[in-house]
Amino acid sequence: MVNIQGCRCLIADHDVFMRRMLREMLRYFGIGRIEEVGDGGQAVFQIESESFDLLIIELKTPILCGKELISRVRRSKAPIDTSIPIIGYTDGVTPESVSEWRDAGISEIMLKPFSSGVLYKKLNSVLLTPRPFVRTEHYVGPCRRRKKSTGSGYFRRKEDKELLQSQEAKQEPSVAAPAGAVSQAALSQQFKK
Amino acid sequence: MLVWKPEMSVGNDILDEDHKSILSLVSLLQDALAHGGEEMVVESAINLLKDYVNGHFIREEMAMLAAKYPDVEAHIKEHVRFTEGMEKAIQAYRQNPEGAVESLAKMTGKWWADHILTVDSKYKGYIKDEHVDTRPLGFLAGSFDPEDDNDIFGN
Repeated sequence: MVNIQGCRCLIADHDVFMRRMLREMLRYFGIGRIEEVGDGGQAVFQIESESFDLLIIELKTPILCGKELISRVRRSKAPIDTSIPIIGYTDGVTPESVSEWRDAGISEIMLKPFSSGVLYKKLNSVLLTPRPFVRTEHYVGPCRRRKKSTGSGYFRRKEDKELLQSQEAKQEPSVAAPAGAVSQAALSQQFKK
Repeated sequence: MLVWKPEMSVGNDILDEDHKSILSLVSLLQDALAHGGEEMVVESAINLLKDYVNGHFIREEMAMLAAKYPDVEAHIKEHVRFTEGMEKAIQAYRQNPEGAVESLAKMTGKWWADHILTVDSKYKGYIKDEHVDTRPLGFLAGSFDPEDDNDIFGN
């Protein structure tokens, strides 16, 4: 976990105005150690050459963008921290693109235009309260589960438990004693005589 | 481009850093307005400038009060006048971006250069380091809108 003010950050965006503005936005929160690059290729080169605590990228930056850039960082063979928090931002977002970035291992996404308050929430999320990091054959990145589950064991979600209980209530049989049947209590009484 | 110069120093590093950042933002806004920066960038720069100005005024006013600076009231009135003037210039720009761009750029740039050199310079010598809150501006101002969510994961 990294203290926000001690953080070293790399910004990747082809828009020089946006880079300047992000720099001031980060300084607004006391982050002063900031490097900038203009495309995704340079971003990968910088990440693999120097140590950073945070990567902030425009998801449509040229050369290497979005999903490809995130994947390159997460699956890099270079001796770097591949669990580095990655905050992406852009405009014109679709559910499909969000899924792609999430499955590539992005930490947080912001929609342009974003305020300093939004940036702070994302910084807080990735630097101060990061989600567990997952490494499997099929996925490398922060845990994609965002909703907290309640309870333990199978069917841990509150919604799952309620569904299970309602299903069990529907299936429970109401059995009537067949005609002529003798109750267990009556049999017991007969044997006691 | 509006840049901070050593003669603009008010004798405190934190306040000087605030001024440097504000001048940098004003320059960014002027450049974006003059060179066809995306509207989103201009709007974001305007909003960030307002955040910075708000936070810096809080820090500076608290420091002047702590130092018992004799002209604190007049100084605060200057801040109020600037805030109102900036808001009017921003509204005029939003209603007529092409017509009002020059006045917004000039208003912010000229005012800050003059204010630092002629008004802020007067508290030099009164405000000591112990009077100045050193927290980053973002934590000093702390005026985040809880409705400003921007959360596409639906948290």
